[in-house]
Amino acid sequence: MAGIERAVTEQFVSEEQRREAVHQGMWLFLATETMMFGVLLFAATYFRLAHPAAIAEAVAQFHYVLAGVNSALLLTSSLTVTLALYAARKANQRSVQNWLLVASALAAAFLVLKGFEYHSEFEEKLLPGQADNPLQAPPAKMFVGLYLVITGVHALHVTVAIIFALGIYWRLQVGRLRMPERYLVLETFALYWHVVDIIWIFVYPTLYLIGRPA
Amino acid sequence: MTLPRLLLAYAAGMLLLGATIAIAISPLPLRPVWMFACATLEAVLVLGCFIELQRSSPLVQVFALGTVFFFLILFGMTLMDLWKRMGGG
Repeated sequence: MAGIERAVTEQFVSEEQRREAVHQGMWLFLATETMMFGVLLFAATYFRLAHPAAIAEAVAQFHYVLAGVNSALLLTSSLTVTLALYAARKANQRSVQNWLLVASALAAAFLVLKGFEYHSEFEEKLLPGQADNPLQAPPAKMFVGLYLVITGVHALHVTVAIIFALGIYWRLQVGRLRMPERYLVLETFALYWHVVDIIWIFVYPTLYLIGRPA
Repeated sequence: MTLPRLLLAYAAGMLLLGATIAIAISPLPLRPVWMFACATLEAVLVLGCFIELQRSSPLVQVFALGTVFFFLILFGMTLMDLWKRMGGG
């Protein structure tokens, strides 16, 4: 079929070698991603060590229940992406598409909840630059800024993941991609999705839970 | 990985998430340590059961584990924080 690429391009001697090369490249990229988030989380931890009382004041304002629901949504979306991989191995394209749609919907729900969270923080005048901010200590205000950067960058990654998922869905729909011949495309995308989930697993306790009064 | 095992891993991940929240609002001592322990276990479940990292070559596994390196440092810093609060160092 014209739209489908060959399984092994000429620079690779086998499908296995190609898979290894793609995986190593993807993990290198994901390592740079986690370095970026690692630095941001380092900064959050530094703030916590330097100003424990002020950070506890800021953490108490965050909506940890909404963020907890978001964690569940992301974890479930990771499961659905894995189910899409299972369907691809069985050459069930319709099922792959369905699971990709479910994953995208869950990730979109994550973004909507995040939007609600930002909105309520705006209403509570917690965002930087707002007058009558209930947070008094400057480190607490800076921690809120850091929280916005970390969660904002993460939300951007979730958005990119949704775009990729819908892109694969569309390519499957128009026949430009076939499973399991191009399983590697879906597998690489799934790696990105899972790492975005893993990053959130650590962002959640770091920003929302540690320092919260019992 | 079979489908029942995958679903079991998912259920375990959800339980760990619930445990993390429960620990956060409980009066349990050393809460940050328990919370990060739960988060690390959750990440291991995602790596092992969803990504199926064990199917990859050792080199890929090294790259993958390197990506969680920074988070492990964070875990170490949390321990340092606790040590400081308990009057150590």
